[in-house]
Amino acid sequence: MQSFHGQDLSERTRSALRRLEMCFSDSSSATASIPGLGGASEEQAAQIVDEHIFCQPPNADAVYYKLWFQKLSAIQELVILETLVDFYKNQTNESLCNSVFKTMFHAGMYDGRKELLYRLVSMAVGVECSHLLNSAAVWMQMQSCSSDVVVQLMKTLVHDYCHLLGGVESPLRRLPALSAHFTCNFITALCRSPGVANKPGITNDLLELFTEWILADPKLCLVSLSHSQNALLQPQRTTLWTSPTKPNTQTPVPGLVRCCLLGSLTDHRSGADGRCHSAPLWSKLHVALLQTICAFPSLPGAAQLELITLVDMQRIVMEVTEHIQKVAAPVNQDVTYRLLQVLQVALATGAFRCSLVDLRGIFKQIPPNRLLKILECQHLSSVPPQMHNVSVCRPLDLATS
Amino acid sequence: MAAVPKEADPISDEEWLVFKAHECLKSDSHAAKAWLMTAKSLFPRNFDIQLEAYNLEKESRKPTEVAKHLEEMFVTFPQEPRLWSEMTELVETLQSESVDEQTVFLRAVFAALPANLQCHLLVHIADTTTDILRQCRVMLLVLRRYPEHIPKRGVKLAESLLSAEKHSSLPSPVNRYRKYLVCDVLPLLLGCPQLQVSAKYLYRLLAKSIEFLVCYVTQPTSSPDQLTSPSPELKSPIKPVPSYGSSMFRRVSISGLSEKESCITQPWQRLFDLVKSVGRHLHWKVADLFETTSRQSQWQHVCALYEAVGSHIDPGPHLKQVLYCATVVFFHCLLHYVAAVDPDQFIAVTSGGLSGQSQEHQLQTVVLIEAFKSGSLDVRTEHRSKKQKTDSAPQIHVSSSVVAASEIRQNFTTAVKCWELLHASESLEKDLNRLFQHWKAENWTWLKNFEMDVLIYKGYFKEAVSVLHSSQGSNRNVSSVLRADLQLACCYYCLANFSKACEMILHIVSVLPSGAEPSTRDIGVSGSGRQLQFLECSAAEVLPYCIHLMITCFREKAFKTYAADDMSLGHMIVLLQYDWPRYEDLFGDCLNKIRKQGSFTYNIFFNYVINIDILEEFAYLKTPDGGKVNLDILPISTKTLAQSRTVTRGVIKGVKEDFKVTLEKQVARCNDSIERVIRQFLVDERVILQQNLL
Repeated sequence: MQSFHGQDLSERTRSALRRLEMCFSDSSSATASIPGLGGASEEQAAQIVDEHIFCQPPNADAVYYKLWFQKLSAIQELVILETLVDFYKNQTNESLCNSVFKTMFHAGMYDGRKELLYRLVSMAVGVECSHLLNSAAVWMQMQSCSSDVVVQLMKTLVHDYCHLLGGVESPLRRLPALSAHFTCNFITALCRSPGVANKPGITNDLLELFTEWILADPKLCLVSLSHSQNALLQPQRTTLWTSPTKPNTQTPVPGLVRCCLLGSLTDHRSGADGRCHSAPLWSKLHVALLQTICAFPSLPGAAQLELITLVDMQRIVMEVTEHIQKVAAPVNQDVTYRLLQVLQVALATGAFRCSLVDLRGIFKQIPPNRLLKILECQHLSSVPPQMHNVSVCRPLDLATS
Repeated sequence: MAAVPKEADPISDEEWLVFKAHECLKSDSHAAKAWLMTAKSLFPRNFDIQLEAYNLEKESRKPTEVAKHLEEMFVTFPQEPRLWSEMTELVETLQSESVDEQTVFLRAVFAALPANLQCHLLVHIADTTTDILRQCRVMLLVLRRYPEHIPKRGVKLAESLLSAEKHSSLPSPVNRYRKYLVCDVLPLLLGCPQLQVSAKYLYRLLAKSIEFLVCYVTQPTSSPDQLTSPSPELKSPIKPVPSYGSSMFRRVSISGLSEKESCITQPWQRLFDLVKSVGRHLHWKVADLFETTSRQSQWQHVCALYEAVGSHIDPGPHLKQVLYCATVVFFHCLLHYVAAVDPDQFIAVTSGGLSGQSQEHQLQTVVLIEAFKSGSLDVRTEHRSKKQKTDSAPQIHVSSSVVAASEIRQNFTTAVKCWELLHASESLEKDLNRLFQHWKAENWTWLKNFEMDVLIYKGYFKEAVSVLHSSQGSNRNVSSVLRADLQLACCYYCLANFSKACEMILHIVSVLPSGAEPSTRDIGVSGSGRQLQFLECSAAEVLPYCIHLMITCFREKAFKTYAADDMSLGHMIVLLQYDWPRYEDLFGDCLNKIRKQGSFTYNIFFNYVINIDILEEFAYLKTPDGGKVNLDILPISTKTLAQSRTVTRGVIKGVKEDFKVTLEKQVARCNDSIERVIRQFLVDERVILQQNLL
């Protein structure tokens, strides 16, 4: 390993990557197929990454490493990032890409390496490196899209490509073409990031971009759910399973539904007709989401999943009905209809399932109108098919959810 | 649009949902869409909601989305009539050539449907359509897109078209059903290697195709206006100029079809392709029979096919091969020949007269007649001696004014050879006659004209005369009549019936337009054996031929009889003035005969003889040196004069004075148009000319 030290930084990184490649190809044929049993090769890979990619001295303690790492100049960082991007651009082995990414950016990494991660992913968007973005998407799902590191990563991208490089020509526009999986997780993470007044911290411009993406491909927000077969996600597979008592954090759909309904209620820039100026955006996003919900049944294994869990729905209904009372007609009517439309389409497609009792409870919260009556007539008179046998729902603690 | 609900008239939930969608439509199409999506999920079995959603999607102009809706509706409501009317509209756009936005969009919708659904739709629409032509158009879409259906459905379609044609009792084979059969269905059907039908059925289809394309090519265009004012789309500067021949671009209107549908480009190529396709199924040795441009090679190919028949144990199928290949080559040669020699054949009767046509079409009718040998005035002597040698084909000359002379000759001779081959064996002749009977070939005037030409070509003048007489009155236009009259005159002459020949010539001259520049070309031809020629039916070409023929008639009479025949001699001298000095030698013979006779009586001499050389010779004849011939050529006979005057020496002197004065007066006329004088002679003296030859 001493042999690396005297070499050029770029060449050293490349050599390290080659060694990683060998390391993972050796382990793929042996015990590494059992997750967590990578043993020596996983450790070895981590060591190569630490020492020869991120130049971390062996067995360094945190303080020492921090000091040592800061010695890397901006140019040196750039060389490392470029070498990594080049590696991903030329790499076709998806599983190797994912393993290298996972090894480089493990859960307990230091802040300095996180900074490098943000820059690496931002660079991958800029240079349109699909392989790297796909690996990042798998990594994001392993970390959970609501984790701090993922949310921060997405915020960095928004900062880089919306604030610094905004406008219609932003490279972000082409994101779904580069990696649908990454795009899906990107939306999921941003929809879960906290904002002001119960609204996620997303600008209307960004929401408009999401709407365009989803209208162009209604299955975009379902991509993360179809990656459950990914080998690296196998240990986390349980996280893909949905439970009525937990929110679905794997897709942006519940977050977007909430965002869409609350957005149209809390948007105060109202016009003369009582409707807000950005009404077309909410209407468009609403249709896009309905289309996504309609596309849900075609997803493999959809019968075992819930796109919107009971908890998700109850939270949405509660928050929306609370705000509806504060808003005048016709906006309140429009939003009530939209809420019922989402509810109906989700019920019809199996994207949302619950017991009659829960459903009755949900309906009770919604201000009455003809559509609600139709829904009650349709769903409360008979047991909806494929219903979860959840008799009693625990009281929701929305503050903690 | 759904009606606005009234409180007193509550509407159903489904209607209310559609109403809500309509309410939003003007201000927010997305909201309308959301309502319809909700409605669809609530009432998936309600067609009205589905149709509304489909129509809304159509507004979005996204073919893929619209196709998805359509497919969904098709799965849920396969029997819904409104859906089928939508589908039918979609299928109709596939047949339309329009490029308007809506048509292009609907075509894109159809293209976005899954392939099996497309096929199912087309087949279903075709099966449920009662109108055979509509059914055919849709089924053609199926066959073109899904060739696997050709063997089964293609044969069925061909049968439907044949049956529809039969039951419609249409007068012509050039009808809408046959057009679809020959131009659209058969190329697909016969091009399919998996097709399994009997040889007899293939012969039947081929016979139908030949009949259609031959009748199409030979059918007169519907109106002369179409020739001068084609529709704008046919006036394209990038399209080749229409001409006769393989790329012949004919405009025939077929009842029930549009002008564009009626137009068949490259009809011959279509026929060749069909023969080749049938040949592939029947293992014929067609090879490049139709690709070769040389008539000689085509003929050799047909001959080789015929010669190979004898080597087969069962010659039946091989004879069929010869029959169809030779028939197609025959029609191809013949119709190119007819189009060149009789351009008016396929043009409506309403066209103008001879001169009018020549200006309009630039193509003159050409007639096949006996030729005169250079330096000889007799066409018959050579002919008589060669008549026995039937294997020796006569030589055919084409007058230089005729365009594409070589093609005309080759097409005619190849057609004749094919015709003879098709009559060479009893079996072939029987099959051919059967085909002709089916095709009602007895009504094809151009075929009769060809048979006529063959009779003349073979020297069967008696038969030719009887055919020409029987077809008199059936010819439609002036040039066809002239053509027949010339052939009749020629035949009579060859049969030594000078009186009849002369009668025909006099008739022809009386109808020939005047003012044409006389041809200065030598009308005689060189070569040994019997000679024929293609003569252009223009006044400039016909008049010299007629005069030459008359001169030969009178020469026969004047020189071949022992008794003096001053009348024949006189008539001949008048005619010899034409194209002077062409007949100078013959005039010399006439003078010798007069000198020998010592006298010559021809009282209309000064009416028609104006040639200065001839007048001088006659003046000389009277002198002692010239033979002191007793010439009675003054308008009033010297005998009459003698009776009216006292017989003194002075009277004789007076007669001499009269001759001198008349001669001097006549010299003043020498610059008159000789053509006009001769034509006047032939018209005014028609009776005595005819009587003279009786």
